[in-house]
Amino acid sequence: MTNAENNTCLEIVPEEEAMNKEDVLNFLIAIGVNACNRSYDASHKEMKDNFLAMSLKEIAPTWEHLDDNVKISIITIHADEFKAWVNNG
Amino acid sequence: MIKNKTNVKETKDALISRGLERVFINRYTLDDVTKKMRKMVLFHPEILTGYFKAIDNHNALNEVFKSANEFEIDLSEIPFWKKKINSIADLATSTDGSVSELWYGNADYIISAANMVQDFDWKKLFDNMSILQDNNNYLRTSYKTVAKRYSETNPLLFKSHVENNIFFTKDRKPAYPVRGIMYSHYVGLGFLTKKTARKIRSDGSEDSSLSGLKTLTDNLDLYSNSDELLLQFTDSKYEGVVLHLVDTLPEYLLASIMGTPFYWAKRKLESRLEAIEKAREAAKNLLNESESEV
Repeated sequence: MTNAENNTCLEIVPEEEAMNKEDVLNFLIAIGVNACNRSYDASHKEMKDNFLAMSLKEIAPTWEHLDDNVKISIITIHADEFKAWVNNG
Repeated sequence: MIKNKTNVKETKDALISRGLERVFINRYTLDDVTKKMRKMVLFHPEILTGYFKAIDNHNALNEVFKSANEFEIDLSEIPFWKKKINSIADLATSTDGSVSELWYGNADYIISAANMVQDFDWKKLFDNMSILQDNNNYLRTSYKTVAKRYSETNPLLFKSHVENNIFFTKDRKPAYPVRGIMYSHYVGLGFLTKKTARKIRSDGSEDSSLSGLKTLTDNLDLYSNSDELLLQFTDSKYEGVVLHLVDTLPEYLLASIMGTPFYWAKRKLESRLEAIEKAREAAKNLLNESESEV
């Protein structure tokens, strides 16, 4: 007897999305920056500033996990690069 | 802009550590992202290589073990964690202040780790915690757990501990909640004798005496001379003890507490005897009815 015949409803259980080590580390970096962004601690502020000063290539893998405020800060700091990219596009 | 590769690496390492601290911070509720990251880190501890320091503190490790329990992950089966568990369990017998943190309830993960280590020396941990607990009238949960594990894993040593430090000592005895829990485990292990029952009955604290008696009434099957042991408590000077006896003594032993001087115990005993009488009459009537029907 099939499930349909049996009138059984099968629940779809979403599988945990697999992540490789790089993905996890990038996610942790994003969580770290987001936490620093909300902190008043001077060392955390410095960590955030150092992150913002990294090249866009280094920042890119963490992008989707960053808070909007951090994303705005990145765009502000790297505005010239974005402008150049838009103009060349 | 940071051009130097070393600086980029340093920044990333610092942020990863900060991220780990954040993921394993103590919170009332965990969001899905935190749960996911905790699971990832626990299942793939190789991620922690070089960053373990970020979570090598009591609060974060408490969260690590709590999450492992929640996600049903057996850390002792993951080689990385197995090594850590052994070194964490060593903290239980160290003199670096970890035992004190454990006693305060800030490092419960040490107990979780100790539970995962085969042949862990619970006696040593118990002795270390007793120094902190014995004269304290507030019983810490961690001490209760350790005392329980000690009594389960080494009942004979535990028995001599209770006898030498509580029943038959002329030195100062531990505080009343400690005596209560010791009586409870001692009785629960089936070691109670007429003499030690008498000692529990004569304890200076009602709470301690009552917790010994409660364990006895819950574990009467362990004792072939349960009636004799129960009777040791009937002349207790504590109303709470007599009230408990009124509730739990078998009917044929109730006469032993009829002369109690306690008002509420007398009233309760009256009610129980009335209830027994009513039940007996109801049974008699039922029998008569069924006989007349036949």
